[in-house]
Amino acid sequence: MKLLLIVCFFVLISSVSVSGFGVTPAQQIISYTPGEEHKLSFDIINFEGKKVQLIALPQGELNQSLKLSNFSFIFEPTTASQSVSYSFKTPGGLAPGKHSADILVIEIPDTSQSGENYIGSVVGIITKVVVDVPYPGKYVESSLSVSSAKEGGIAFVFPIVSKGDLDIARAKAVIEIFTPLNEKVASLITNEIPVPSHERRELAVIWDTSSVKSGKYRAVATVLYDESTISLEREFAVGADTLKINNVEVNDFALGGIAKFEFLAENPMNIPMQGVYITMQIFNEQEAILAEFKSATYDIDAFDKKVLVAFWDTEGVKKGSYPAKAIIKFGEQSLQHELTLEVSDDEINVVGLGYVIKSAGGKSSNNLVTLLGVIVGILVILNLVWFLMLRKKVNSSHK
Amino acid sequence: MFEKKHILIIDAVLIIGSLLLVAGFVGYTQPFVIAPLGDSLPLLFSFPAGNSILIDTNLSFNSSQLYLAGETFSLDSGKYYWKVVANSVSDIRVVTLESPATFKLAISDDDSLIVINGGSEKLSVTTYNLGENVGTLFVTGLNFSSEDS
Repeated sequence: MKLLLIVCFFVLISSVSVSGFGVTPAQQIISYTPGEEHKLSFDIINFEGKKVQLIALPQGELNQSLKLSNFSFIFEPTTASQSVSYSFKTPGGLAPGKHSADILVIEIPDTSQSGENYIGSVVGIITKVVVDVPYPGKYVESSLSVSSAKEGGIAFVFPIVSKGDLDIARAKAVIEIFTPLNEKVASLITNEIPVPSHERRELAVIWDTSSVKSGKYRAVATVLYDESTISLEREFAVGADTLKINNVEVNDFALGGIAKFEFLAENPMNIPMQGVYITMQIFNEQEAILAEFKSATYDIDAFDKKVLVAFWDTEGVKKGSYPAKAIIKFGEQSLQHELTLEVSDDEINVVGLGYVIKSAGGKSSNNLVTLLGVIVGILVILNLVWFLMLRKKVNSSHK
Repeated sequence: MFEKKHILIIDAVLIIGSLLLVAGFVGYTQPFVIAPLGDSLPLLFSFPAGNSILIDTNLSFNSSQLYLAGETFSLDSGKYYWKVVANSVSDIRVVTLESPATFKLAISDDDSLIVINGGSEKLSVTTYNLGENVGTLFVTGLNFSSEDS
């Protein structure tokens, strides 16, 4: 959120620095009272302290309701800002929702020095007057946000904004999840909450995807609030949206001949992958490309595996080890795998499988043994005490 | 008041109860196995076939060391290439050791050459296939004991 604010701030700064002037505030929201007249104002700020001529133009849906005190402004380098007052009379008969009138402030190019006609673009900045007309009764606006949950799974979040003048007693959402083949794989229900008038709440539910196959899915959601509903729909992906290379082999090879590389590719997604191909780059010791070749193009069905074949002409290639890259391309995506090829007279070994081994400690086992030892020790002592106490009592009763 | 028979009965109840309590505790904290886990070996990884391995720090294997099945050996931290030769087909793996480790080679029932943790320390083994992490195993050493940890 902070990052977003910083980005917005810099975008704002950069936009005003382009034009050299700015207006503030950018927006004023007024509540809806038909026929009410508002005295408002905005400031034009001369950021660069330059001589500039500006004009203000009413625009937008409610532009007829605006009356500006002045339409034209001349800024001298010493003028830091000017305040512009205007009146806004709220029209009657507006439908529920937001309606606005815009005031566009544009710079008039200075043609006095060249004395020529000006052809080009002008930069404009807008300040808005927004009339928020309430919805009668109960009215909710919502959307569906789908994202990866921190604790795993997929989170479905519905912001619920109550825009009506009555409170919502109960709001919840029901989500049905479908595969690309329209098979329903899950049904989810969010929490149920009340939403007071003109307030915002959230409904959320997390879908456990630990046993769900990777791929694309479609969520069809219905937000239920009191007696009304809103239908929402969204596509999303589960798991890595990617292909896997499971193995690379070169069989029946003779140095100087054509090497046939066989890449076993797996599509873990529930949709077919089309136009899949592999580009292989082989490098020499100086890390320059020694050879580059690509496979044919393949289509791989959902959850299927296919062998992708690429050929390398090894004429002039010497025995040795060569670093290589296998780049698998599918759709707009590509994946790169680092390999090492060990080329000999009659085989090419593709070194792709590797292990990283390190010490991992093992204290939990030790703790368990200690704990068990203590428990057994206590039980043995209890047993002995009990045994000796009883013997003593038996002996004394015999006496 | 108490006969000897009564003492023996109470004692037997106490002993059997104690044993059941211990067994229950073990069964709760880990799989219900009190006896040794059997013949399972601390397997790190395996090669489909072969009975010896060449190990070198470079892929040309011009300074390699040969290890036979049954042999135990230790390696320092570093990057090693492991090559097994079987039926004229060789298989090369890259093994990166982030701490010194002891290995033992053995032949499994299905004739594959297996590499087991021959030391006393627990090891973690992360497997990469074509640069992609495909999982991590934690393997107790063949000579692991509670004093080692």
